[in-house]
Amino acid sequence: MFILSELSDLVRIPPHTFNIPIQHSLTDELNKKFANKIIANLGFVVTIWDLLDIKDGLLKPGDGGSYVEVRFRCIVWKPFVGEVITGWVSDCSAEGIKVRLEFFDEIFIPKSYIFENCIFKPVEKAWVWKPDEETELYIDINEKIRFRVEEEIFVNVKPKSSEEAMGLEEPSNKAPPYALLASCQTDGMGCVSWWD
Amino acid sequence: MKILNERDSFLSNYEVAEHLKDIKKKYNWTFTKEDEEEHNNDKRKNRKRFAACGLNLEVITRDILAYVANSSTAVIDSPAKFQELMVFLNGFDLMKVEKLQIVNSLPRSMVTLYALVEECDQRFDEERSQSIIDKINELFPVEEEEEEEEEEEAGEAEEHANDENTAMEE
Repeated sequence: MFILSELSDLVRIPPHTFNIPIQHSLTDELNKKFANKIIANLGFVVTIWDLLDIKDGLLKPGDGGSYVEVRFRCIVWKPFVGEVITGWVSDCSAEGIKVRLEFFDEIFIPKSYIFENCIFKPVEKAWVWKPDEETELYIDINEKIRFRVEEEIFVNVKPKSSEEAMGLEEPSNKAPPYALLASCQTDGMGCVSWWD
Repeated sequence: MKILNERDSFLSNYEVAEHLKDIKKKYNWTFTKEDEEEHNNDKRKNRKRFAACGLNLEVITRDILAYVANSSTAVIDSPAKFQELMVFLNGFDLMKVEKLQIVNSLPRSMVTLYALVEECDQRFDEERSQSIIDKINELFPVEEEEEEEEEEEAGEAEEHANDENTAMEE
């Protein structure tokens, strides 16, 4: 779910935007910096909601821009533990199910968090749930699935070294900066079509 | 950058979508073919697309709007109905996050409602829980599939009649 977080930051207003009202140039600069980004231990920033306080701009010798401290609120996507979300299955493997939302891909349901008596069928690449002997319910790729958030994982991502950026070296950090672990074990979870 | 207050308040999907729609309109972005046509048919001079806020905002606006359009919140079409549902839910002894989850996913069956509300069976009897679902169905009727097509058409005819009435009044 989305929340509003209050942040403060020092923003450089480039000189070519001095002719437009400062609220606009500030919002643009903040959006450039934060929109579609992850702040460690906070969540996934969508966009700026509003500006609360704009301090006077400061100048630095040798720089034409003005530096403005601003207090603002932004929309952050941060699901809480226990929240129920609906997404799409993007991949099934023996380890578990990968789920994606339209804007966020790093959701994983490990096999220990899937229904009991649920088995993976490698041939069909699908997880199959057998609530009783006869019925077989398939969790296929691209199916709409409902799940519960169990854990959120933030990883501090270091900037790429120049050699990694050129592709000479294997990137050292492969883990996504923000990932979710989810479960699919209780009534109402699993494919949406099962329960309607 | 400093984080002053991690969680100032909660937002529902609907509010976020409305905010992003405003942004989309402000910057004249087009994400789908229909948008594109509308944009091209726009007779006013206001055809310029602004990109001063960076590509990232455009990407996330598109993705979140797609997410909301695919989710159950898409049926909320007016703030008035949204408000009515909230007022109705305030009558129940629900936690803030539970209300928010109900508004976000609009449960249509008991089992989904039970998944959203902790210990729902102990806190509310069946009648009370059913009344939540009934209210949702009343405010935001889902279009049933083929089998109930006739009913739907009848409903639509009624709507048209209503439209005409309001037009007459105006």
